[in-house]
Amino acid sequence: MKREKIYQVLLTDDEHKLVEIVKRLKEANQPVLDVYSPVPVEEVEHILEVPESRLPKAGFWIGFTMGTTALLIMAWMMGVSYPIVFGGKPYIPLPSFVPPTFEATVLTSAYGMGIIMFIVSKLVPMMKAHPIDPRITDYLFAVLLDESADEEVVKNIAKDFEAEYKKVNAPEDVVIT
Amino acid sequence: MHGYESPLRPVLVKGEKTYKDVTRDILRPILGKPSWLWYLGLAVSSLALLWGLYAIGRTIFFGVGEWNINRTIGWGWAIINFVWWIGIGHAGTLISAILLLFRQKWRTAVNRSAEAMTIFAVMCAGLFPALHVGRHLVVFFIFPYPNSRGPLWVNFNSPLFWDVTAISTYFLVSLLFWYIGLIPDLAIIRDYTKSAIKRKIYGILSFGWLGSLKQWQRWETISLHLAGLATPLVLSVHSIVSFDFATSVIPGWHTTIFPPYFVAGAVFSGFGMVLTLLLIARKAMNLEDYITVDHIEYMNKILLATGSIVGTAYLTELFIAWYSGNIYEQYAFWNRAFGPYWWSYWIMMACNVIFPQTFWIRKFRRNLWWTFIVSILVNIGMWFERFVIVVTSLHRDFLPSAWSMYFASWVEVSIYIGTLGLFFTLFFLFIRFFPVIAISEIKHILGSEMALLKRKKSSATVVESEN
Repeated sequence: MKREKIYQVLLTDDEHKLVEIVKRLKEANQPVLDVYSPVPVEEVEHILEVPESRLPKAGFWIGFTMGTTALLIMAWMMGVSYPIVFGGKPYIPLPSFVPPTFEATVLTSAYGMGIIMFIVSKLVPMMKAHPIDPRITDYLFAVLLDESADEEVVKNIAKDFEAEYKKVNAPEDVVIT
Repeated sequence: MHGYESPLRPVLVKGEKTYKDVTRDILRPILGKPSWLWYLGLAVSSLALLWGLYAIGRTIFFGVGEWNINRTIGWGWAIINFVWWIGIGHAGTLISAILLLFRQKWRTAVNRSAEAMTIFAVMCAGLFPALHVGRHLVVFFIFPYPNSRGPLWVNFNSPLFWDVTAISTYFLVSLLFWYIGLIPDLAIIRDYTKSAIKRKIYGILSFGWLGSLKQWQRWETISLHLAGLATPLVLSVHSIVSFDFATSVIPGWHTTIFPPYFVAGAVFSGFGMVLTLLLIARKAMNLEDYITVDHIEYMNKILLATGSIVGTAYLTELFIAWYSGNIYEQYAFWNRAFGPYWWSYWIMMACNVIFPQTFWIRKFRRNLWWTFIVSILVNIGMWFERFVIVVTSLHRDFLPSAWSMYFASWVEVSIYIGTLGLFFTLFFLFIRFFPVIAISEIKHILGSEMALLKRKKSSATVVESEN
């Protein structure tokens, strides 16, 4: 059986306060596990030094590979497998391959990125969500801290920024991505 | 954090709103009971859909002989409606992709419903070529798959094949883009609703979204990159649709102006439909604070710009027909304006070129009734544009003994009504069960909008005290 872990949570309804709280926690060397917010907050990403997403690179390579494959398959179909002369055009009419190659590239790149994002972000249909507080998707910003965080320091920061402090203790309540 | 904001720009969200207000306002139609108007609208559109299904059934059972297309005019209402629907589907991705890249914040209020319209319109469009081929059971022959006929592959030189790839890609990418945008909002409903059933359903649909740091980071990255990918896609789809015509040798079709002219026309008609529906939705769903008169004005400016491009294209076509010295080309255009279908040409000209020009005047751009009327006229005008291109170019071909006339049969008209039914049924269901406005995106701009509102208020006080 999994040991129940206790997490500390700070909740605020102000985006700017969230940024300040995270800054203070970082300065005090407190282990911030995650931040939940109703909108993306880029500043927090910078403070916590979250590395840039590699999704665009994946999208590029998937699109490049699949686009090239589509081009080669078309060339093989028209030039090798069953060559037919269409209105005097060459067997492998490269300009005609531009639109289908482009579409294949865009489609596979978009879906490649989408599927990777769904998997790595743990976004799966029927996936049960356990928000640490039901208000985090609506208007609250939450900072999640490990149990090793110094309770005194965290509580003090909460007091300074009028943030709500609470503890959650069920391990399935937290999905860290 | 939000960079420089011009103090002259109007505030995009009316009233002093908080995150809570935004959630409450936009979720009200989903969590409350729908009005009798919603039931009436859904009933009428589903009846139209059923009627269309009956006509589709007849076409499949008896064949395209049920239509009035003939040897001379092989492309009738099916292709007109196909191009019309595809055109309508262009505004959504333009708003969500191109305007995202241009950092137009006003798109946040209209992108969700415009994207939904794109998806529904492309669904309607896709029906027509499939019905038009005649042998409906072998429609899948268009896809290149290993088969026992050789294997005989499809002709990759054909714009008709490019069209299949372009439209299916457009549909699938728009669907992905729309759904990824919806996920955070569906999670809001999951956590906000008090109904256990709704919590379960929206829980399934929201894929377990929590709004964690990494989830948002990836969400933003993918939104931006999908916008980058969808931008050339928007331009490619209608360019390729125009190749269906432009690569032929028919006078009136065989012109290089077609791709840009079709793309501008598509955006024009798409904005026409978005305006028609949003003007109704904002009133019926009390969304005046989010879809403001400024939003309507921005869209009217795009309508004016694209309408002017379309008008210029019409005139360029006439000029080139005269300047080319090609008698077939000259006759095709004379026949459009003064032949037996003259009325369709002048309806097109009036609706697409003349009426939108009133939007040069600010008063007209900000008049909601006038906008509503013009948006409907644009829809009508763009339908007639396709009618003019398809029917008047074909009905008098190179061989005078083959000249013919074409008027749609009731089955063709019914299929068109059926697609309108499908579009509106899906739209009514969408506004009932999904947030019409992208809640998270509105919240994302809320900080800068409220700051702008405060600055405007304080500068107004300063001016007052100075006076």
